[in-house]
Amino acid sequence: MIEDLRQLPPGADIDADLCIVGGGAAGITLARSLAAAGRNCLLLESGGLALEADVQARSALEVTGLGGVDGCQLRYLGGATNHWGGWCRPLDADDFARRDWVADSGWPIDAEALAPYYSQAQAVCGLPAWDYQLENVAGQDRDFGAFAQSPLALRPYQFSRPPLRFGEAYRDELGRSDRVRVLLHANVTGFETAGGGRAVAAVRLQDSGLPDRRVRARCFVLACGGFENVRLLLQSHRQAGGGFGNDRDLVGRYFAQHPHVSCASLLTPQADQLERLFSRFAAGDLIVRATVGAGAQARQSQQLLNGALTLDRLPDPVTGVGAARALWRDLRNGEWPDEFSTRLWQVVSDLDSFVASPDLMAFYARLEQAPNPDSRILLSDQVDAQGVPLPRVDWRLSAQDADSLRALLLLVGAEFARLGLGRVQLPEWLLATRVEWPADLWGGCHLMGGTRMAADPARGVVDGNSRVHGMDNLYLAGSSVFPTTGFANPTLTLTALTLRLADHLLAQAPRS
Amino acid sequence: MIRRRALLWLSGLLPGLNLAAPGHAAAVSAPALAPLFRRPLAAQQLGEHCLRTPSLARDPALLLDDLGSLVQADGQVSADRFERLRERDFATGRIVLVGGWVMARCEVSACMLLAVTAEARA
Repeated sequence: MIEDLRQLPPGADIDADLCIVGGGAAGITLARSLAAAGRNCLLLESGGLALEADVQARSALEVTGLGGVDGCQLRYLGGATNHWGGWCRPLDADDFARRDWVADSGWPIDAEALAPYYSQAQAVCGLPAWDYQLENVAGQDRDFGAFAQSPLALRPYQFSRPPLRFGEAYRDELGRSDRVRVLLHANVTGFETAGGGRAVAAVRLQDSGLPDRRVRARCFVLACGGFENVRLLLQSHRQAGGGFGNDRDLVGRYFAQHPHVSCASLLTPQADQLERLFSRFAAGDLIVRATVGAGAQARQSQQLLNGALTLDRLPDPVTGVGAARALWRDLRNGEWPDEFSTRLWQVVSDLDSFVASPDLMAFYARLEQAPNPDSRILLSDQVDAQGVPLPRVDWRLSAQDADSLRALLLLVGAEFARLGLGRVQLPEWLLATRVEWPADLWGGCHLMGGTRMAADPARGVVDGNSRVHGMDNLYLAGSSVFPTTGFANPTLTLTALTLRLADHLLAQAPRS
Repeated sequence: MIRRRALLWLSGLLPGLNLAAPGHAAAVSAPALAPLFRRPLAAQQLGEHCLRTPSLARDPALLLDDLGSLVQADGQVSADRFERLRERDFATGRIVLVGGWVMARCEVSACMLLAVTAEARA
């Protein structure tokens, strides 16, 4: 059933068997899974069924680091799936591994442990079939054979099309369920503990103009997004002294996103062919888009972070390929830019025997961010209407992130040239000794890492089952638990992890 | 100084190109690299730029060492060999960034060689 706390008469505390905080992809997936297995749960959503200004205002941020972190959270049923793009792909197997060249890398679980849940997550996310082998889905009319002997990897995304809005898609099911009770406008602002601080006894609900309430439960799962999971844990620190899972000052650290940035241009005589290969296409029921990046062997031998590039005809305008674009425009207009650029372009054209007009395309990067303890979420001195401190987001990238992107582009540039597919130009900003990321950098609203998963409490906030270290009955769900990020958009993986968490919780207490 | 060192080195490596030692610039004939480029002047000017770029010209020998295999017995340059050299460079990561463009080392070397020999002829 779905109820609205603002419509309920003021009353006593609310009791539940299992309480999920947050009605986004993770919270809804967990509630559905538990209910399907006969377990009752209460799902608290801070918003309603649509965007409301006063509720959304609670998602304000203080930004002190890199930009591109605003506007990511949506406070109504469905959460961030209400504006996601539907990009789906699992993490690669080596994303889970400890890599010598990536400090603090390694998950406490491997790809195999998540594999059965990925295929279930595929259906949850509205995707028709589990197949991420490009050669299987490309069909005969798209020939990627030129890359067969290449150190490059062509890895496809699938698209939930149209992007599945979890709130809309599963609202009726939740409303009909006699196992799930959804409570809208249930804004959690803090915790009460028991067991000497080892257990959460209750969460506190506060909303403007309404009396405070408490929700008591045997087990709690925070599933309220990459900022809010951190914010609530840090808030517990203020309230309880010591806080949950923060004995080692790890809550909020290692905050990561997927750096998205226009990163190189491609001068190519084969723009039509490449556009056909690298733009979205339909393959039966699937909508697919190929990316190009370093293969696993090249990532290891060159000690690269993971990352992938999409390729488009040059959009207008694109930061980072501006110089090449201006050069190309000038040449087409019969104007000659500075002599060196002109000569360089002529030589590059000659060397590849461009006989027809070459065209410019642009690479767009989607990158793994190296785990960085200095990239973090803190609590601001500013507070929301309920007096809860806002998150202060200090998103930082490191030299390793820039170095890895540069190395990836050199590899791609060499391979495209070798294969006669064109010439790649890296942007000036990426060649600087100290890289200043360009203005079009953003994180994709992929809020990860602030409550990272690790078997060792000294290295993470939650254990391999997503239980907060040192707490008996508090779990976290969502991409905030990712210790490393790969390059793939997080929704499919966080959904798979949530399904795994559901199995764990059911094993602890099978039925209500 | 860089050009002088390059000339000295080239005269030893590429006798087929009839390069003379510094001081005998008039004896240097145009190398047969020009046909590799539709616009040899552009390549030469790019080579001049590279020679002025410290990171590229720090050790000319390092950049130019590939080109010896291009010269055939008749002193001409084999376009096929150049193509193979280029492919090898790209496959093995022997690449150079010029103005941000990813180029094979042998390509840059050819441009630099054009520039050096033009300088010597002048």
